[in-house]
Amino acid sequence: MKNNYLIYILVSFLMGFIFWVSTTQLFLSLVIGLIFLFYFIFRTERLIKKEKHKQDKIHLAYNLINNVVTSISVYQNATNGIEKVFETLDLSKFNEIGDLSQMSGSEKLKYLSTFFNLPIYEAFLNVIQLYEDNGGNILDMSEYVLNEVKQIEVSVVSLNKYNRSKMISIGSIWAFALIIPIFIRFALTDFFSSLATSVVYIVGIVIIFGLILFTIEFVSVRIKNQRIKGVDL
Amino acid sequence: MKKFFHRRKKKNEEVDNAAEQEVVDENSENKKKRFKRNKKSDETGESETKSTKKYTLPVAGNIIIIAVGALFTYFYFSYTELVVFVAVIAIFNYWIYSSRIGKKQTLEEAHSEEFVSLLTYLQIYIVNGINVYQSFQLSLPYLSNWMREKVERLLSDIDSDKTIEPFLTFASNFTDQHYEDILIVLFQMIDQGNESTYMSKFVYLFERLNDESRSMSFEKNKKIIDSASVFPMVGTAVFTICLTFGIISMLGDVISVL
Repeated sequence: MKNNYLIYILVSFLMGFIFWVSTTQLFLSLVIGLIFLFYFIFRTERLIKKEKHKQDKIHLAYNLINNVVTSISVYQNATNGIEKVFETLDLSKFNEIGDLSQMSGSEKLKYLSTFFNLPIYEAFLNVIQLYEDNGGNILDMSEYVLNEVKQIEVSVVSLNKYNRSKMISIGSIWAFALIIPIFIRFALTDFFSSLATSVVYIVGIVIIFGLILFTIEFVSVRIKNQRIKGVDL
Repeated sequence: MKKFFHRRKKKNEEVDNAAEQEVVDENSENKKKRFKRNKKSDETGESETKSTKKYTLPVAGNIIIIAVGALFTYFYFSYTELVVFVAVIAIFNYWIYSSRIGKKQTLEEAHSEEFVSLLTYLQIYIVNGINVYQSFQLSLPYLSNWMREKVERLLSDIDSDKTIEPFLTFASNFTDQHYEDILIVLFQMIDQGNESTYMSKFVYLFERLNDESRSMSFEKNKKIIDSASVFPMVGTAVFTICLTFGIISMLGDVISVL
């Protein structure tokens, strides 16, 4: 998270600097830099935290389901298998889970269903219940649950990869777009000195930086609204 | 003679009764027609009310924007305001009509996705030996209100009708024809037991649907973010326009000095 704040400060400074280079308006450059900084700290950071939390939950569910099934198949006993899994499971990242030490293995599994809030987890609990009631081969019984949870995990990872590459490409296109005013400032100095006093030009540059902010907001909200099959209804 | 007149009178009475009956029938027919017409006009009235509401917002919105734009233009005429006014009208109409079309499509897609999710839970239970009816019941807590209502209706229809009709009625809630195929297989499993033939058919159909649904969902998520690529180009276009204005105003100053 500290790295994130460093990046926010660097990017906001860069935005302010580019604005100053494009317009020579120091006061406006400071305002633009501060707007970007506040936006990153109070909006982007919140969205990133929420999205990361959601993905961490999915990863935890995937690992838990796989480990429980493997453990039960090894120990041939649901209670022992589940206890073994919880001995090694790290839940410290998730403050909302609370203290599970007083609960038995099955109770812990059932308690976590409210935390995960995933339909596939409920189906997994039903399969464990069936195994406890009727016995059988846990690997065969949970084949489709494991398959579905693996598909969800793969979807999350692929989507993440795609989103990251898209953000990099959009960022690159914006970087090239911002080179133009910098080029005009240094390559056409005489022309630029008359242009920088024009109100229309300054308003145009302000609009461009507004569009950059809008692009960041647009992409963040769109990523937040992406629905993963099996996770979001 | 008396008999003749009696017979004549009887015949006349019969004719009169028949005529009366005709009139009564005609009246009742007319009443029925009027009722139907009124009902139709009520329904048309209802649909007319709906379509009136459907067009009220766009028409009213456009009128208000045009009125405000006209007032502004009359008092503070400038080309900038005209451009802004045209842009506002275009954005408003785009927003109204795209949200209308988008909403219906989104709902249909959400229902289709949920149906595939329902099949996922059914498969998990059916493969573990639970019968189809109970599998539907166990899946109820994972469903949205809309789907839960449909499944509950399906289950209550199955209780009273042991034919394929309840499944076909359930399938009519979705646009994809393949869903009917899989529901027919489920009916066959109820009707003839969870035999391996039907089980493998069900698993095959479900896996095909699931893969399709997953890849469609991924494509949709990609499209959601792809549209953001247009903004840097818009930014460049804005910069070019501002640069052009700047150059023109500079040229104008130079010419006026000369």
